[in-house]
Amino acid sequence: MPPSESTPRPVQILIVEDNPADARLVKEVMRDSKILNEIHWVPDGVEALDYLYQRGKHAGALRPNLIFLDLNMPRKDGRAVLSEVKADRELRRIPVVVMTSSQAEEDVARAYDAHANCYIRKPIDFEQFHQVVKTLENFWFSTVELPIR
Amino acid sequence: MRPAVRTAAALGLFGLLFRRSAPAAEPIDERARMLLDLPVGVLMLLDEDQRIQYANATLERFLGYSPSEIQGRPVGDLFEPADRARIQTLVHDHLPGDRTASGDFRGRRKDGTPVPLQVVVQSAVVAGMHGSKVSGIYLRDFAERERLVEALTLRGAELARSNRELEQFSYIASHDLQEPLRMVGSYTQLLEQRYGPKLDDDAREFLRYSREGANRMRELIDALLSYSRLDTRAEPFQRVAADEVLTLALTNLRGAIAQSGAVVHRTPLPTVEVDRIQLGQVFQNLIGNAIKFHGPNPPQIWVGAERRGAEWRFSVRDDGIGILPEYQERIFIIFQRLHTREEYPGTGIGLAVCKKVVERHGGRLWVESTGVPGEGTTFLFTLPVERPTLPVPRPEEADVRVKQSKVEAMSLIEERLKELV
Repeated sequence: MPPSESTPRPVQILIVEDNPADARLVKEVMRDSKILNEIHWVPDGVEALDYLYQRGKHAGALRPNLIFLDLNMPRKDGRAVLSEVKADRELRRIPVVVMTSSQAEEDVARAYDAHANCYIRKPIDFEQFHQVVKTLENFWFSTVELPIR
Repeated sequence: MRPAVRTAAALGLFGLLFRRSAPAAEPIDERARMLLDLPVGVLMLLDEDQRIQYANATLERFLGYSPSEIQGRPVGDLFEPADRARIQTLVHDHLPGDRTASGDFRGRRKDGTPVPLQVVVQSAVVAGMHGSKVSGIYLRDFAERERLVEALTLRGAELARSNRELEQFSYIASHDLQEPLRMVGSYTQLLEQRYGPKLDDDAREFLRYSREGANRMRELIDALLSYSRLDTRAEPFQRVAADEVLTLALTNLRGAIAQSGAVVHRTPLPTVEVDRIQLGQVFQNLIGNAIKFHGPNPPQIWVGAERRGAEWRFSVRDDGIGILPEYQERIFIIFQRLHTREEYPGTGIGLAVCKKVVERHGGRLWVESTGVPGEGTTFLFTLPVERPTLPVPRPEEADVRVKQSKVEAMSLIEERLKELV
């Protein structure tokens, strides 16, 4: 959806998630959102960084306003992506929502150590999942103020 | 007969023989000889000068001498020269009537090769031998004990490892199973929400069954996960007042209690050394069951404890529908249920959890019920008054335990050997 003068720019959300069905679920919940949004999906950490640095096939990618980051992924996992993003002076402003099925308490602590903006355990129940995504959307796009760039 | 028992029997008989009978030259009853020649160890009789009067047939297998060729020779001949003085002292110093004396020695075979031996000495004054002292000697292959220690150590290590693997397996299995299940459940729900109105009744019914199946499986996986956490997320044992634990469990159950009109009669409970969370689960599950399986009237539940020797015996009694004796074994097995889910909801995990918790604490759990409705059910479980000396290991402690197990195996064998003499 190309942005125009009359409509507001859609918020850009990047989902880093190796399970396409899981990524699609977020997309489906966001489909009937009041907030105009564009969802981009990459299946692993390597592509996530290509996307964020606009490399290769993601050369034309827009900088996301929010990142949903899974932890356990092939090639490069979410923990590595998180530390690289938070070490980068430009990218560190983008809120990163760690969203994972990991039950390990150590993962929670490490994510916050690496400056994750929040850590969410994926609810197993769909209704709760729906609720969580709505809450995140409401919080990050209506409640808080985000940097322009 | 277990080897240990066999050996003890042979020694006992041997003792009788040399106490009662006349000089060793006298013939020995055939049945007695059969027992004496059981190949469990060497049995010998020495006179006051430590000369061998009698040796059983096992001597040949152990040391290469036939019983007849050794007769009359000093016992020292059966040992390495360096150990001869020591064995002579052991036999000499051992007083008649003393229980036994024992030690580890290096024996020497007829062909000159050394053999590790454990020696047990028993002495007596025998009237038939003009009041002189005789000594009975039992020689046991030390190498056998070494092999036993090794085998036990290995078994212990294997057991610890397989336990750990099993715990990890059930945890990982249940966690990894949740992921695909989440997809099945979520997309079924999404399908119902978005396309439900466009579908016919049959299609909606099929979807409902899919969703219910996924929910059910989720409950089972959750149950499995919580069961496996009894080991992986165990807390250290602490001294707590069981009364407080019970109060907390009743608070958690207040919804069910209010809804059913249940009355819980409690008598004072002792202080025990437990994982308080897990003891709370036991109370909650047992009382929860008492409420769930009630009769026509609001349930009456009695919770108490009494001291029985070294244990506390806790009981949770109700006046509910009871459990027929033929089903009383099954109820403690994970996921086993006696009713349809329509009659009574649940996964069948509660009592399996209770059993595992009580056993982790060194106690037992069982049920008493006639199965006659209204006569109710009593669940009983024990907890040791003193904490067991060997705590149940947590997985991270398992490695340490494996290292310890060699030491433990040793002392176990020592104990077993003491039983023999």
